[in-house]
Amino acid sequence: MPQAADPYLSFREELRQFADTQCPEPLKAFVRSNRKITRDEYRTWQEKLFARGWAAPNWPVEHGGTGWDLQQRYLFEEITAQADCPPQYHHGLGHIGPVILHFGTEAQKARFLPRILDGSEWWCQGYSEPGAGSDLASLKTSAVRDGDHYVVNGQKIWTSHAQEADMMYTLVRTSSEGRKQAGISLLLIPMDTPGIEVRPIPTIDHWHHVNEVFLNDVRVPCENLVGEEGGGWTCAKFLLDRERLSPATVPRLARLAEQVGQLLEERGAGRPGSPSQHVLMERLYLAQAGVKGAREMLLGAIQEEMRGTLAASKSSALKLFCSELSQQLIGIALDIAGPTYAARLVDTSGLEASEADLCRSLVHTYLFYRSRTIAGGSSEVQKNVIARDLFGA
Amino acid sequence: MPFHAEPMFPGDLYDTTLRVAADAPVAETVPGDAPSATWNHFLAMGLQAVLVGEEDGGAGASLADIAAVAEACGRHASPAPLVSRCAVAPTLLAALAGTAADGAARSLLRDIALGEASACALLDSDGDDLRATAHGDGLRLDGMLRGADLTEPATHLLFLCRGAVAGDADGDDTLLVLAPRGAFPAATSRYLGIDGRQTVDIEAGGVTLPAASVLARGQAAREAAAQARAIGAVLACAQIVGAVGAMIEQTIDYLGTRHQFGVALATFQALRHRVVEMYVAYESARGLVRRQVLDLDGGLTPALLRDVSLLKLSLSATARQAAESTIQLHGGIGMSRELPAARLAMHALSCSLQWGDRFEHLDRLARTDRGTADAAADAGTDAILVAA
Repeated sequence: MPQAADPYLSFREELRQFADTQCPEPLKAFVRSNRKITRDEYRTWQEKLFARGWAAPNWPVEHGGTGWDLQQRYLFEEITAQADCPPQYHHGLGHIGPVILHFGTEAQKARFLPRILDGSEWWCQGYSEPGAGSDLASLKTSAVRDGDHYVVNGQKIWTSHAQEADMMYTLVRTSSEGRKQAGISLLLIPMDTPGIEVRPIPTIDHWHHVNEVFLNDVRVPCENLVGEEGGGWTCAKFLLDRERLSPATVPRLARLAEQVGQLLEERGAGRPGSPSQHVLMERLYLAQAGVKGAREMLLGAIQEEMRGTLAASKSSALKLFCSELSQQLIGIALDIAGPTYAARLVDTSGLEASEADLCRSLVHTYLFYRSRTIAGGSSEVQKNVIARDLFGA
Repeated sequence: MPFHAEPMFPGDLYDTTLRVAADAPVAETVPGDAPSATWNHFLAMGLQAVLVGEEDGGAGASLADIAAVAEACGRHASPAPLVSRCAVAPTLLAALAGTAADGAARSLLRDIALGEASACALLDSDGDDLRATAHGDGLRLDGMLRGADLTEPATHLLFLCRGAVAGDADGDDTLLVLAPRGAFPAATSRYLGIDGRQTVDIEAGGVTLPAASVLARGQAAREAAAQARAIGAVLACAQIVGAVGAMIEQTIDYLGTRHQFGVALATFQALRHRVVEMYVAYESARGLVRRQVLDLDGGLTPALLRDVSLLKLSLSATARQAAESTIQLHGGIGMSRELPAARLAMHALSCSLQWGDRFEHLDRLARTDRGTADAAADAGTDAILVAA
């Protein structure tokens, strides 16, 4: 039987050509070097995508999105990852954008969406608190109505990118009556409002990624409330349900597997043909097979999601599998980089040249990737979700 | 009564070291070249003298004593270079007693025992980055001295290089060289390691040294270095035992204190079991290290060198497992450098990579066993031939 013609053939070609010609080479080199991507790199790429009309692969056409289906979005991610284009910054496009689209007022849509599309306004997520991590609904940061403002007091933690963000979409407690989920609201808070203090959290990876955000009598206009007062949990859950499949994860993993394979070939551990080399090769092959399996899982899940039959446990299984796979791969990289680079994580003599050193970036990444099985729903939480589904209770 | 790690070698030395290490502030950069207060305290305690023989002004104590120090420091993730300064360098110098370098070695040992000198041992590469050529009566260096651990200041550097001194016929021999730190320029690069150790690269090109700087050469140099590194590997394992024991205690404590979903995390079976896995690996590792330290007290034999590689390979895996579990079980806060348990995890990982990482030891084990098997096979063949 002849294989059906690929309906996405010309789409693929268009993507490939764009990725090849429109992403500046220095930006690709930056991505290849595995350094931490900052607002500058994200923005450069977002501007290119915006100019092409591809600013928001996950948004409907009427709001400036591409209107692509999940399959097309997957192809976009696969081809841009393969070409070493940066990922897109997800807090605006992937998280708060769709929530504003669905729950926001017309004024909110007009105010916030265009600046997410062109990359001029940067968002961070104020969810976790010191006492509310996996158990997010226990959050305590309070917002009290005062005329046409909310006055916000409390503390957020693990706030990625707060140091470079303009806005924080923030879950706050507007009531302590009834179920704890019911008293939560979603507020959009400008980061330059008086009373906000951002303190970096020094992390084991020595990258500045996460922060504590202190909110002290922060006055937020009521028009920045998304949805109804007390409707914050609904917004947060909408996001979780809607964005549970991330088409970007597997393509980035596949690229990492290629890079680690290349590094093993070039640098290795021990001499060629040594037992060390064989041990690492086995681990690499297992991870390569894992990436292939993850790709099939994702493609299958995409089909199910497009038909509306995707079970929650499938997306949790993907998150669990991919985050652990990313740790396996980066663990091989750490073993190759070895003692030399573990002892040279931070260059305190301030020589810029060494920043581009791939092995050093991979040690940073190994340490940073410990958070892969913690953030966004820890592996333990994912396992509970999957087990509930498997056991039917 | 929750778990509390029992020291492998309890005693005053363990207790005192533990107290000093516990008081050490967490510093990520040391301004200038001054020693930290903690290091001064260690020197005043005579930790550099522990392994030096009584005839050279040391305590002539056993390997178990310095292992007690290493375990205590491991419990507080101390980045102080105590293994290098208090064990590897003294072992290396003591191995040269009775050779032509006897005088130089013993004179330095006496200063080390007094705490007036401190020798940084750089034995990870066999000198490929560094070459020596004959220069007048001595030698001239060319290349870089890489990865010197100067978390605390050193007065001397002990390193391997390749080349020759005046009068040598063979121009490509391994040389074990001792030089004052002052013979070299300031560091060209300084680095912070994953656990706060500070290493430097030093430009050695153009440095000239007298012929007496070469303490040993060839096989003798390689053997002395291999034995000293083996001691380093065993003590890195003792540091890992200290760090992992403390990680288990702190993880149990955290899981008991932290509440999510209205209950303590310690009520979740999956989390309890992961701690149990750390604990079982810890008990085995602790037993292995303790036994190895006692076995080594009579000196190193080839069979013991093999055991050391087996130990370091195994403890490196233990360290990695414990480090990763500790971070995971702490959740987000496990990523914070301000969390003692996270620093312990980084320290254990770092120790797993020093004095030979798991791959170096894996390859050595395989080479050793293949060599022995080949020799046995040869012997077998000989026997058959004789019988025929």
